Amino acid sequence: MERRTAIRHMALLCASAMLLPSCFNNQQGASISLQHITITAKQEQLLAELVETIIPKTDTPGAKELGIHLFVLKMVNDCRPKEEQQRFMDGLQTFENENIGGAKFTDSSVQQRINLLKEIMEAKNKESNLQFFLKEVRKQTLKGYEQSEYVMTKLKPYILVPGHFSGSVKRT
Amino acid sequence: MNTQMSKNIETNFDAIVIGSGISGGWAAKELTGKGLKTLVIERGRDVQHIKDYPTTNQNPWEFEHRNELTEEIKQANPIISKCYAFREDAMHFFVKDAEHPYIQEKPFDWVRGYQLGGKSLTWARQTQRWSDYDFEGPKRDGFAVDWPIRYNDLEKWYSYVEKFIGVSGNKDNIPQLPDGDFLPPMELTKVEKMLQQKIASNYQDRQMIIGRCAHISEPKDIHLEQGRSSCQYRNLCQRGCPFGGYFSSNASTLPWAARTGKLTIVTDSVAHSIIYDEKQQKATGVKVINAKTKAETIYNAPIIFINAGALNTNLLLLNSKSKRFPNGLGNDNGLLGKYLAFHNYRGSVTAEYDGELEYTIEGRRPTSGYMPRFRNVFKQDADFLRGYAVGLGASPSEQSSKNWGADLKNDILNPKPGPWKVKSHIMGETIPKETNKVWLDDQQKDEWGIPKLRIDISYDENDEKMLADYFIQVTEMFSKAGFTNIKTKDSKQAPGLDIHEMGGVRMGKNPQTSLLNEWNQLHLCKNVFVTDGACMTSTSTQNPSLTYMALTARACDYAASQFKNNQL
Repeated sequence: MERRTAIRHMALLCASAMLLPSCFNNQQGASISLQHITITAKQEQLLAELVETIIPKTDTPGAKELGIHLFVLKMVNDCRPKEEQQRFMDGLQTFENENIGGAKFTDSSVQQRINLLKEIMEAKNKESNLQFFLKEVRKQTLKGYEQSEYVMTKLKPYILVPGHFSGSVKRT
Repeated sequence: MNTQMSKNIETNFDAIVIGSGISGGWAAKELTGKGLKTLVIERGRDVQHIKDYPTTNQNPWEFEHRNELTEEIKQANPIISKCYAFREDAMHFFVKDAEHPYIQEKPFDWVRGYQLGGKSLTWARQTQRWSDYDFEGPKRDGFAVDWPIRYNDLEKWYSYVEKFIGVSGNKDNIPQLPDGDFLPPMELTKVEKMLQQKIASNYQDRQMIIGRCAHISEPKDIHLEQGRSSCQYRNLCQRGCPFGGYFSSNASTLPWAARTGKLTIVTDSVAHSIIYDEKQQKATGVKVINAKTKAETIYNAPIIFINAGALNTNLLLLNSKSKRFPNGLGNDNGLLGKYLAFHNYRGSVTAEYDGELEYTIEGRRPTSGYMPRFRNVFKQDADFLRGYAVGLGASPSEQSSKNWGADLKNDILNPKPGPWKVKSHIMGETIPKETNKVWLDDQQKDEWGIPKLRIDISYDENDEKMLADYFIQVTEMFSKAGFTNIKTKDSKQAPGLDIHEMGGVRMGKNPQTSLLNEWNQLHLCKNVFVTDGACMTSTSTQNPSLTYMALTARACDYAASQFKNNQL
């Protein structure tokens, strides 16, 4: 049993080693190829801070370390219609504005950051591109995080081949 | 090979099967099994079991967009993108919009799978038998024409097919949904069982059961001989199953047929037309265009089975024009391409249940709960004709978090149970009508020189009334079961998206009012058989594939015996 566990851990380590390079080598600017939206290195960094605020590092990696900000950009670039991409970019530019986000956001405490996000999500901002942007970032961050190899192998293992079905199982 | 017409002519076969999907695969298996040298003509590419299922063992994170379609694909494919199974993991098994265009007189989403195995790779695998309440429908209720067969004619063929493909199900003893030769049933979930009991106690005329499906819940020798094994409850079936857990032509009938040594398959081969010989008064072969090179080949054989998929079978027959049949093969009565029908899948009802939160499920079940038709079964009891079956399911959920930061992360990793999510959808019988039809455009052709198909199919008043009744009845059933947050939705989806289009070459007793006889032979060209969805006289409410397979096995048995007695 111990041997089996050890092998499993080894397999997970190998798997995560394959994942890491794409996450860590992104310090040099707008680091992935995007055809439909133009993102500056600064915007990419801000987005990394934003996804890290949404899902921070605790005793396990946060969204930034897992490269989820790049996943968000990829999804917006590849899977959203032009009109939504424009709203996203407009919202991102607003979020960059020093009076709202930008360096002010980056320099804030965790609680201040979260308060700002909650404020953006308030009903009065419903029509704003800023809220549209934040909703999209949150949605894709959750998707990218929950369906990341790290989470699906180490934290909430995905079982590709369940082998059985039971319709009534007591929750543990 | 013969160069008589300065074209390739191949004559080395006893039978030709056009199409390798769910019914074509069965025709290939049955005909080769009876010793006939059989050629299968497939318009799409080759797909070999397991080897050509590129995504089957991919984990969710290995899909670039986590199984979402890109905007580029959606823009290029507005039609097929509507199909629930056209996603990153299985889109290679569907025909893209530009690949084989057609003309919509009214909105019609034509879902196709051009590859070896056809749509049998991606079907939803529900296998409910028909009963005489279905076969007697047209006669009793005065629409279409009377079926030339009854349940009794098909019963042993249903068993024959079920035993080979493997059907998981429960013997429920319901007159309008005959029991079959089942492997062990799959389990209902905790809340589905509760709903089942509530419905049983609240209604005399309604039964909720576990959907019967073409999955091997416990393999028999016949399945192991096919190289197939138990369903692993992955519910990733649309990618192709490496275990052969569900039935497809690729996993089952085609390799089985190949083992006889009597099978030849040509892929990338588009059937252009059936060739009719006036002197012999029968069809002699099939003109085929190579999908890529456009080269023409004639394949001759004394028996021809058309299993091209309902609308493509109509298209092929309409395009099989000769001096004797200027309007398409066997079409003296002008009914070819008419009286098409489908299933109405527009309605769904969702709800929630806040009890049993200490329970969840394990594994991913590839079927759901099912309620056979209860309207107008034993007598007419509603203000519309026929009725609908209901798909039913209840699955556990997790509470979605409104938090941010570490709290959000904790909620995701340690979710609290949310209410059970209850879902239902309608599967409504539609009435075949002369006005629901297809025909050939007289100008536009596809890249193989075949006229484009014009499709003119729509809902009618009866469908609307039935849908309204479904909403009322399911809302009541859910509310009596103690469910809350009940919501109805009419997707307004166009016909076609149900992927249950049927008819156009209907069976019947009379050559004046139908195209095919009780053995699925063209009345007017007896060596041509049609046993795919095109042959259907009416649609019932059940998913039709099991019936296509049973009709095919029966027709092949007849064709082979006629052939051996030199009757064809």
